[in-house]
Amino acid sequence: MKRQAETDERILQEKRKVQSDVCQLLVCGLLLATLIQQYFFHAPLAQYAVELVAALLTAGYVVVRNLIAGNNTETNAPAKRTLLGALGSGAVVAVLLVVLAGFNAVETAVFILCYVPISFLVVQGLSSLSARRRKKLDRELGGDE
Amino acid sequence: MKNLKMKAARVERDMKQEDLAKAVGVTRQTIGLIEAGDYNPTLNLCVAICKVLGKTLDELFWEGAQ
Repeated sequence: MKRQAETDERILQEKRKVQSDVCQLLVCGLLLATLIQQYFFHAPLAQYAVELVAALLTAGYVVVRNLIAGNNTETNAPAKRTLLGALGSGAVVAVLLVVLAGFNAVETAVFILCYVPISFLVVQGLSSLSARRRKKLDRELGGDE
Repeated sequence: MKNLKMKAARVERDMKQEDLAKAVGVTRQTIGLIEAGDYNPTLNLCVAICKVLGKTLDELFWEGAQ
């Protein structure tokens, strides 16, 4: 029975789903812990650095694994859409910085000027990597013969 | 939708759910769920079940098949 349970595709599938849910909950918990410590407790970076780094590494891992697998990671958007996304997310973060961290106008402007091009370049870079990977998969597996 | 064809084929072979489960390397509950239509097996498992029961995929898993 135990051996059957180990090879049972349904049980393995359910186990993976549970593990995936746990992982998502952990990442949300890490981000929440970081935000609470940073904005509500005004803790120094050293206090929540491990959570922050772990959350960022997890996000990076998800993106890289999806790229390696050639999955559509929502990063193959056209340049115009990527730019709009960078502007939108930059605006949201800027508002949060002003409201929660008390940034003044100059600091906010500097942030937006740095964030938007960096965000745009990173997303475009990931997009081209993903497209290249998909093309490679097409070349290797797309033939009918 | 219940998979009565699979259940009939199993009974025809005088096999219990446990026997079929052991033959294809899954638990009895999985076989029960497939027969009850509550679990969608992978193609590999479908093929394994067909081989054990001596039926084709059409006969066991195609809804329109007689």
